[in-house]
Amino acid sequence: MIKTFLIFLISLLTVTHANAQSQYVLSGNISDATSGENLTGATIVVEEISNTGGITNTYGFYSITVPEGRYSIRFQFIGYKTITIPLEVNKNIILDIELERAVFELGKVEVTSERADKNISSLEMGTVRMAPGQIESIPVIFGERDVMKTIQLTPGVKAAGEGNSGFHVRGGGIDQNLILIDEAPVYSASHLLGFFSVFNSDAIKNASLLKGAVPAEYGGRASSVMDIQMKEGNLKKLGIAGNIGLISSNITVEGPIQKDKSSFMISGRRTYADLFLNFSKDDDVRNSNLYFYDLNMKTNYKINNNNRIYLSGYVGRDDFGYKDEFGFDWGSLTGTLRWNHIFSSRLFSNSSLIMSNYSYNIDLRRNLDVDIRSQIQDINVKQDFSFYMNSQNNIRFGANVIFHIILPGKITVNEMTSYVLPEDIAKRRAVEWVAYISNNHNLSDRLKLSYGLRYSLFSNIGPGEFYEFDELGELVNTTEVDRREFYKTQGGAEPRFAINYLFNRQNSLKASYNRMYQYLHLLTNTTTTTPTDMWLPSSNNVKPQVSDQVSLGYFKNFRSNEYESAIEVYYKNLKNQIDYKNGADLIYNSTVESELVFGMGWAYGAEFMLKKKSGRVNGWISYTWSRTMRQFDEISNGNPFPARHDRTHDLSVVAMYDLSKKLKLSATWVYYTGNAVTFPSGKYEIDGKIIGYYTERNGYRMPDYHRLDAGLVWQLKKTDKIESSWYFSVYNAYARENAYFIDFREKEDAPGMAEAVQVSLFRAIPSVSYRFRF
Amino acid sequence: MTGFFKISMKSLLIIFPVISLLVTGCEKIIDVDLNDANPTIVIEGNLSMNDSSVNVLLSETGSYFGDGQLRKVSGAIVNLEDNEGNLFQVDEKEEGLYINDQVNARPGGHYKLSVSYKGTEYSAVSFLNPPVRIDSAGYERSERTRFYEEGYRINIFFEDPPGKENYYRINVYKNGELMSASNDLIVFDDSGIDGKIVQVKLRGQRFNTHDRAYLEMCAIDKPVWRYFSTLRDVANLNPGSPAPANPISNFNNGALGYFSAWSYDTKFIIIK
Repeated sequence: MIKTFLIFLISLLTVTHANAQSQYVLSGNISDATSGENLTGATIVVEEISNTGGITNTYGFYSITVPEGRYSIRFQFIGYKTITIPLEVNKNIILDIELERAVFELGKVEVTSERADKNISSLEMGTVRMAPGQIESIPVIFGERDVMKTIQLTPGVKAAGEGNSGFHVRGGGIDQNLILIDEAPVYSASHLLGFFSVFNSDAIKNASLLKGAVPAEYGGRASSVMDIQMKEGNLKKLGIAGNIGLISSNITVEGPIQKDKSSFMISGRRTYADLFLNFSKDDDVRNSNLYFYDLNMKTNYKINNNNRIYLSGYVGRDDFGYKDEFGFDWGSLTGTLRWNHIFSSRLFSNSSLIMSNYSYNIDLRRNLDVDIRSQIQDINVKQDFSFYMNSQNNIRFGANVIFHIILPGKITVNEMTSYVLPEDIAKRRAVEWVAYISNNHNLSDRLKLSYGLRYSLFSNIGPGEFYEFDELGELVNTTEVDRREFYKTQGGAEPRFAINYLFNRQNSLKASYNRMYQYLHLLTNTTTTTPTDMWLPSSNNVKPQVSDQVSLGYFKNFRSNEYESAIEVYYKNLKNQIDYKNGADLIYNSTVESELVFGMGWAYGAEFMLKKKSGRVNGWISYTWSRTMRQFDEISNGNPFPARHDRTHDLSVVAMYDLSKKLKLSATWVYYTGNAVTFPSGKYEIDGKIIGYYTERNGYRMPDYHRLDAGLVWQLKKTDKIESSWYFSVYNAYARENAYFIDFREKEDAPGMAEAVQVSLFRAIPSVSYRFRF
Repeated sequence: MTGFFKISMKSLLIIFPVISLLVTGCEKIIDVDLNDANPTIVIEGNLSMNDSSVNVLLSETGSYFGDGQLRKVSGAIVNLEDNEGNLFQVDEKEEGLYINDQVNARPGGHYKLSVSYKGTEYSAVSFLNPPVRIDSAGYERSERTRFYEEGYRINIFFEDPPGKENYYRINVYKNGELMSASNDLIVFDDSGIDGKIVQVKLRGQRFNTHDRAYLEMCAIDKPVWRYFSTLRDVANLNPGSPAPANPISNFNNGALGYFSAWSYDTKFIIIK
């Protein structure tokens, strides 16, 4: 299978290569004229040759190949003025372009300057791209702009819970999303129980979510990739931007270190929700503290035209405590060092050294005096190449090696009288090896292909102990593995394929297939993520999760690209899914693998999106119909059952309306039918207690959910030098009491009788913030 | 002693929703349309070595929102058999309650309880462990903390028999009455404390001055420990819990409940 695929790939390449004669390369960098920031995804169009063009990569680099001749070359990007340059091409040319921002006028959102039919012509499908600037006015909870929450308003993406930044993509689990910030994986992407994502919008340049047609350079999770890039920092002038809100504030400073050569960006955020706790009448609340902070930093240095270095980092931590009784803190730390090197106008290289760390500490002081520490750490060395072979083929290939070190739990007891015993669960170590190659291939004006192959392997390495269990989960054998010794290696080929057929400039049909392997699995005792969730590596007992997804989409633009619409259908098959035995002990258990059960899953659905991109009223409507099923021999007598996040109908409406030049109104309305849930189908008495009797997993549904959020942006000042606005918003404007959970309990006034109690988290939450930039 | 530890971890996790509820949460009673599962037999069988008696309660599951009493099961044939082939008939003394108080149970024996009802036989086997002696019991005053109110807490000291797996359940009687709320279900195992002198602090059971505490420390077997551990999970559901499931019973043929052969040691103290 792999062999045939490679032969196929090579044969396609050689055929096209034979045609490539007396051609020249036009390459360079596209950046923002005012800030010098690289523009990712800017398009280059050669007006005279319909099948030729290019797109800038993450670092703003482009390369196109054209035959000798005179051309008009058009450079364009969303929100920027298009530049057309007449060019005589008789040698290889390096052309760096700076695009100027289109003047932003309320009432006329300038998106027309982008190549307006990009959604039709590109190979991307199942992809959502967002820049924080585009979503500025969309109202969100606590008034805190959040790319991750706005992405939940698009089809195929489901919020994990009320106000939660965790999400499910096309039937996948929360842990099946690879979340990257400047290439570094983020193992816990939420703050404060999920109400905030770890991504400070002011520090972000772009965010994209890949639901399907995932290119071969991405992998490691079974369902989706969320790729977030931090801003690089203004190369031209010093700027300060900030946001002062009711419960959090942030400030961003960016500017050149050496003009046009090096720059920095630093952005910090801190919540002060805990200040309000002091006003509470409740002692317990008053004596608690609960806050988080995060810090994004990035700097880059242009050594010369062919070499540039980037260094970026993120640190964020939550802190929760109660008097001197306990403290609980958790957070992530990531760092990325990158070197862009242009070998030739056709060969672009990026080398990265990436580090990621997530840890938490629990400190139970009074009476117990116990410390618990847990951590996951990655070190990743990565090399990527883009080879712009000719106008039809853009080949990308690369390799990376990731070391994972997981400390499941180290419990330290400081006082001997304590009843908790010290326990040090051995670290688990593993190496992930990856190599990939892919080609974006323009077969003709109308037909574009992308095909690629990723091969990944995962090896458990020593020092450590590996266990074997019998059918009852009893330990039968322990293997001691020495330092640097390999134990179990598993993995496989991950083919990726996408095709786009353009009927014309307004209509296209796209299809894709991708297989993805996931070697790290999240063990969670709850339905959303919590700070104590633990990642478990694949091993002799735990096979990697494998997903296969096919999708088909029809894309249509109308009214001269003012409206975009898309219909996509998908089917996803998931192997080696993990669930837990009844009563499983998941935390601080060295033989946790014996507590797991393995099964399969499948998901299918249809997604509809209609987007109005410009005009006084703009926004989108997104609707998803989907099913998500799981099957485990040990659960519900082996019958298939809906996954907890199975949600049949999901509708989001996002609308923005420009009242005047200074006032902008926005609203989102969300409606979805309830998630699957397990409720009792009877009761009985045992041990003097009334207990629910459960007959099937997830056989019931939560009530329907709906909510309206509204926002108003009042722009006070807007010039080139200074900008300031007030943001007002109300989350859950009509105070709908949506069920957060349903509790079954004995009636207080009638023992033996049961009642169902719905608990809602939020009524209407108004918020206000002030935003400035100078 | 992971059992205890798990409890305190769980309390920690509960706080998260609690904190947010304190801010704006609201509750209301709603109607939920639940299916009525077919009635299933529930067996609660206890063989106490010290009391030489076997006690079996038979009932059925009922509608969740039903207002009637849960139906007791009469007319079943209940037998207890040991691994030496001795058979003890367990007769119905009152509706749904079957007793034989002449069982000469020995530690180290396997006991099988079988219940025949409406043509189906349900059986479970339990191993009778010898009692573990409580060395001493005391109490100390503890201040109010985030999780617990102020008051007196009881400490039990005992020596875990070395070289074997032991499973325990502690029943606490306050002023003569068994504490039976869902967080009074105390079961644990000796993983990590095998053969050691163990102090168990009963954190969840609060006493005041002049209260009388009667403690029963039962030696149980592994399947029963697993039953109670999973029963505790179902009895203490909280928001964000994984999908609840029925406790893991040692009975076959789909019966709910458990059969436990056990022995115990006791202590009695008065808080002064």
